[in-house]
Amino acid sequence: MSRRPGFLSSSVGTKILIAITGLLLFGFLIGHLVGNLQLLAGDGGKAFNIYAYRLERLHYLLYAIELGLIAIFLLHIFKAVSNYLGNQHARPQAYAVKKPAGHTSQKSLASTSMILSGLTVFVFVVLHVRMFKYTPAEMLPTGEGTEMRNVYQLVVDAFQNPWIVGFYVLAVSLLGLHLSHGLASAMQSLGANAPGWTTRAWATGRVIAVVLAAGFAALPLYMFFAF
Amino acid sequence: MNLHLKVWRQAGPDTQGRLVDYEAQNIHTDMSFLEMLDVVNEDLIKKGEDPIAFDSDCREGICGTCGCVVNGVPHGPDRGTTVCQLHMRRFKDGDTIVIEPWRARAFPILKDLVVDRTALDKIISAGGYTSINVGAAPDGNAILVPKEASDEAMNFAACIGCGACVAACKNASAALFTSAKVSHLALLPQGQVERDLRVVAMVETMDAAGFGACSNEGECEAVCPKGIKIEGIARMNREYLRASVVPRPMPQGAFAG
Repeated sequence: MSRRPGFLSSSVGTKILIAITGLLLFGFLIGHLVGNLQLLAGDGGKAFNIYAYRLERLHYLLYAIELGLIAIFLLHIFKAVSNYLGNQHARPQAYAVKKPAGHTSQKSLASTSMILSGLTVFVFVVLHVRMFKYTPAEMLPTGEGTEMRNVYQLVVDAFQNPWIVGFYVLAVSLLGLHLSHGLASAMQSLGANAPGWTTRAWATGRVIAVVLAAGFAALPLYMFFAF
Repeated sequence: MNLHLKVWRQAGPDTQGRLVDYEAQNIHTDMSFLEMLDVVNEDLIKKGEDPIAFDSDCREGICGTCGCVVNGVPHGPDRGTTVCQLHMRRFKDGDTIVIEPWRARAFPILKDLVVDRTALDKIISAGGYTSINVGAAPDGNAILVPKEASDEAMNFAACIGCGACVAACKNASAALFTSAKVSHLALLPQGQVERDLRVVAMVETMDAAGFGACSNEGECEAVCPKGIKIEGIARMNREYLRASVVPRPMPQGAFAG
């Protein structure tokens, strides 16, 4: 893709790659949330289980999608961590006194904790996949002569434990924090900004992040209080 | 008024520096920040001590020579000014003021508050030249420049290269400075011929100088005495992406090729 070998290792190329992978992961999150909202259908989990069953029936296509997601996720983490470590070298001696400049700056708790919020989300994702994808579930008839996992019951049971609910709410809150800087930052890294748009971009990113995190947090909270 | 100063003193590039306490006495509110330091230095010289070294030239806020971090903010608490245009009326009697140099690997400290900003010059040099017709004076308006492009290019050209953006950035990134220079010429017809080479060479030089990457926080914009916007960094990234993925035709033997 590059006529010069340095594109992906340059500071700008690195940020562009982090931005692209980040936005792809954000795209996955939207799909994931929309799919999971079927948990709230009030049909005893029928719609959600069929949805999960249909995804599993994609077989090789699903494996390909999963591998792609893992690759994107790992690339995002690898590039972000190496970028973070590189940045630590750029100022060998810290200031005795350093204050946020305020004014037009978008510096925030989110922007200063991206690496921490990101790595916490990574740990969460590993535990989350283990909890629901690789835990044996009760088998239900699909009505087509086959069987499907009762993932709905797995979810309901898991979210009776207040610790698990608390951990999920905390994790998706950190995800929201990550996105509240990450979304606008990714657009900026990709060059999608124009005079007068910075404030609007960050405001929009923050709103989307809050809505997404609230959507994800609603699921464990609903399961905990409704059952 | 009287002030307590904590000033970074460092004898040379390879010596250990430290914050030293000074009392600034009988400071007038009409003085500029650098005039206040002049007064402190007069006292130090009278006492036979080494005066505090700091950079300054025009003292009108237009040359980009001065700069230090005042109470944790580059160029001090006023927005859109250099430290020479910061005035002592911004402070109260008895205030403590911490004064430090720009801190970045790419800006080694020469002495006290004076840092070596050669790295910024190297980025400028990497930008090369523009291929324009020299010789007889050109006809007026022979090169048409859209008003919007001219305005925006002028906004970026306002950069005085003081380095406050690097000093403010948590990563000591020079992205705002470099983007101002890249954007300035990318917007004008005169900058088109070497447009792709310029952005790639300047970004590579910026990275090689030891600056960090941009985290898109915008601390740089907030402290910039010339109000350079981080939209310029977005433009630089666009230019860099375009130059790397779909480069435009380039003249043979152009500067960085």
